[in-house]
Formats: sequence, C-alpha cells, structure tokens
Amino acid sequence: MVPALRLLLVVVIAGGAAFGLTRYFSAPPPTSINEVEWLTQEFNLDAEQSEQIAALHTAYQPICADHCTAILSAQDRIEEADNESARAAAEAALDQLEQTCHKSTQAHLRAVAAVMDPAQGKRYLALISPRLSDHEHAEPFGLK
Amino acid sequence: MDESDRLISLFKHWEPVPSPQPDFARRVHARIASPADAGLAARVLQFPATLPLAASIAIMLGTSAAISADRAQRTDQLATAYAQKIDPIHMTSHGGH
Repeated sequence: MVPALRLLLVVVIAGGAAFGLTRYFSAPPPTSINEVEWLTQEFNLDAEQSEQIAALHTAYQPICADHCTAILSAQDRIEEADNESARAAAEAALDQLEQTCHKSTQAHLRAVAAVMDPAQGKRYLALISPRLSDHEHAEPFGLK
Repeated sequence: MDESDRLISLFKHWEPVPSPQPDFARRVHARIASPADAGLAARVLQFPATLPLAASIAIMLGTSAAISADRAQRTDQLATAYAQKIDPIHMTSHGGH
C-alpha cells in the first residue's frame, strides 16, 4: 500500500525533524540560578510572595551555613578519631547532625511552600523534596 | 412448440449488438481489475490535501513535544540546582558551601 507508506514516511520525517530542530535550537538552561527569580517564574509568584520568599531565603542562609560548618567539623572529628569508640561516637554525632539539618531544610521548604498558592506549594514540595539528600543515605565527605 | 423451444430458436438467431463506446471493453476490464470497494482509508489517502495536512500536524506535534521535553528538562535541572543550594548535607558531601 504505497500511498499509506508514503504518508507514514512523511509524518515520521516531518515530526522527527521538527522535534530535533526545536531541541537543537532551544536555549540551554542557565548554569547558575537566582533562587527567588526561578521560584517566581516557575511557580507564578506575585511580587508580595516573591518578597516573602526572598526574606525566608535570607533568613535561612546563615542557618544553612551553620549546618554546613557543623557537618564539616563532625566529618573532621571522624577523620581524626584515633580509636573505634571515638570514631563511632563521632559518626553518631554526624548522623544526629544530618538529621537535624534534614529537618531544618524540610521546615524551610514547608515555609516557602506555605507562601505560595496551595496548588503551587504542593507542586513545589513534590518537585524539590525528592531532590534533597536523604540523611540516611548521604555519604559523609571522606568516608567510603 | 413450447416455451423452451422458442427460447432455443431465439438464441440461435441472436447476435450481440456492438457497443457504441470504443473503449468499452478496456473500461470494463479496468473496473474488474480495480478493488471492489474503496474504503474510507483509501479515500483519505487519495485526497490531495492529506499529505500536506498530515505533514503540518506532524510538524506541530514534533515542535510541541520538543518544547515540552525542553521545559521538563530545564525545570528538572533548575530544581536540582535549587535543592542543592539549600541542602547543607549535599553541599558538605560535594566540596563545601
């Protein structure tokens, strides 16, 4: 059935070419992002919501930095431990710290989501939560 | 002479009258050779606008699919970058703040 084959071939070639060319000429995603700008675009935030989320991010930054410092210190203590019991104690402390960080980050996400419209907040949590490190599976720096 | 005898007599004297159409035989043979009934699919395929219409729809669908895939990929990458920027555990396991 030559007309049907010709039609199929034209459809496949036209559709494939349109898909390939559009993908090829689309702009690459930015390598660095401004969190609030991206959230504003992605979750259709109005000016007031953007400001509230910017304030939440500003407030969270020192907390995040403190957690980073504490985790790095705990990792150093594991590296420096000279016996098994000291090492086990340091690892337990790091695990505890990572749980605290994880809860703190989740709380920050919930606070940001609460500022958004309910549907967008739900989408935000569904999009971001799975991308956070699971403290139970995170591999501490320097440990194998 | 009964009915069948009259019919036999008639057949003996009957001759076919030649068709006035010169290409009658050729047309009859062409119709015999063609499919008995062209279905909807065949009629659609024979329609002159089918091919350009199908190509246009394929181009639109291809472009839409590419835009959707591009947007999904972009959202995925930016969401991952965002999550990594607010996640101390990730930052400390990948080279610091």
